[in-house]
Amino acid sequence: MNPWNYVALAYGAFALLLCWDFLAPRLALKKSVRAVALRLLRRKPL
Amino acid sequence: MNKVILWFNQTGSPARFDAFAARWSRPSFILAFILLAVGIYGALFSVPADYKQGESFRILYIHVPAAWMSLMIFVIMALQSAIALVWRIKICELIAMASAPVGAMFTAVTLISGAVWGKPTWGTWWTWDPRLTSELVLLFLYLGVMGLYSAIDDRRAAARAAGFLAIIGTVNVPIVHFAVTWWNTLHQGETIRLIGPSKMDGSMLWPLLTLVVATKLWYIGSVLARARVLNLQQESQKQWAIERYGDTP
Amino acid sequence: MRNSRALLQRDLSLMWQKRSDAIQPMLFALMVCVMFPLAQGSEPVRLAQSAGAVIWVAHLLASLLVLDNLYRSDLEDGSLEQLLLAPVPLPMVIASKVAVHWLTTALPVLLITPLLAQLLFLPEGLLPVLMLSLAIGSLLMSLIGAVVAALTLGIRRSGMILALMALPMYVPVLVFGAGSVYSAGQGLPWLGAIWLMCAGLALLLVLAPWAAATALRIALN
Repeated sequence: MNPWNYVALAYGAFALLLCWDFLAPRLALKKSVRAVALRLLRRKPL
Repeated sequence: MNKVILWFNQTGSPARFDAFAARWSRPSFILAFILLAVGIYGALFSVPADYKQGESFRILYIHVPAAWMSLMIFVIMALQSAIALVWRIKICELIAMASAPVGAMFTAVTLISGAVWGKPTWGTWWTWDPRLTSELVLLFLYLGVMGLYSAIDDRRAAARAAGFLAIIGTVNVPIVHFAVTWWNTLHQGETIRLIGPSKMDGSMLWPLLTLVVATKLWYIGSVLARARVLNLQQESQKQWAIERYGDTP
Repeated sequence: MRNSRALLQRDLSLMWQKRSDAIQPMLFALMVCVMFPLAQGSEPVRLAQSAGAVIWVAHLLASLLVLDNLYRSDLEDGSLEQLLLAPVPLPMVIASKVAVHWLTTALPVLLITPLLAQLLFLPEGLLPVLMLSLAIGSLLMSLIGAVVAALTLGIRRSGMILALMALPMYVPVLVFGAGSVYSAGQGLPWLGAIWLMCAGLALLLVLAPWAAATALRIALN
């Protein structure tokens, strides 16, 4: 396997893990904000 | 009152922290991203191939910053936990617990990039020498902190218990760092020093320094984002949270 | 001093009531050692090569499995909380608990180690090194385990989590302990590893009860 394949593998894994690290808190934040909003909605009798 | 102390005090309150994290997380990420792009471009295209190792040595530019981050984050996590245990500051608990996944991620990058670098260069994906083994143990410690934090129901007690585990686990950090000096290992010795001259030539050094700064900025952005989530999860019943986020669609 | 004797006596008599439980870690270690010839074939040469390591791992696993017992019975009947409030220093309480725990769980396994060594065809000259490293190592594992067990006390069904937390902490003990047996087998100097473990023991004899006390307070408050 030529060396650039290994380089690509390493950099690719790096990019993937950084993506995960970036997206996971954003998704969790959206969930939490929704939870706050839903709780308020449930409290207010419509 | 001293302005710095006042600022620390105020930012420690959940509502203020939420605003602070919201404000500064994205710029950190943007700056980190720019520096990552510059550094990676330099690592892949500007820097000449190594005399002995050829192209595969370019993996060093990911491996070393990630390794330094994996150690630095563990120390920060332990420090924050110690402050949280002594002074019972909730934000410190949150920052400590938010740091764990980021640190685990960088440790994983270190191990994976190291393995991928090892195969073409030294003929093996893995070896059980002290540095690699202790870095693997570091990953287990991060996962242990994360696991313990999620296993206890009371969030504050969970943070304190997991934080204590992080403090005990810090003993592994000097082992990882000094492993190359204490034992004869496959892993190479110190090339780059914080104080004093480094053994790497300047023309090859700049992408490394760029990526070192980039990863630090990434950590700041990530820990602020994650701590903000943890904060919001625990404060979801409070007045300020409802006022700020209550009427989002 | 009277207090520490009283604590020791209490823990010893509690353990004595359940003395048949001491057989369990013995049998477990024995069975783990039996698994290996069953799994990898019973050629004496092959078994002898990894005998020291297998016996060390058997000790380690047995130690992990009994960790839960350290505080569990006192937690369940409420006496742990009483001990937290007692005028006796908590580290001393924990030290006596760990001492009794080691006597009833690690010592039995240590006593059948010669038998295990025979079963796995351990080269004869290695048995003293094995026993010495295990004697110190099992103490280290009990002390480290005391701290980790205290942290996971609040969790129901904490068996697996406890093992996962304790294993990374056990790694240095295993590396040096089993490593000394391996070095001795190769004809290399092995005493250095033993000295390092002794140094660790001296440190942990003082620090571990204190750390475990802090962990207990964190877990129970």
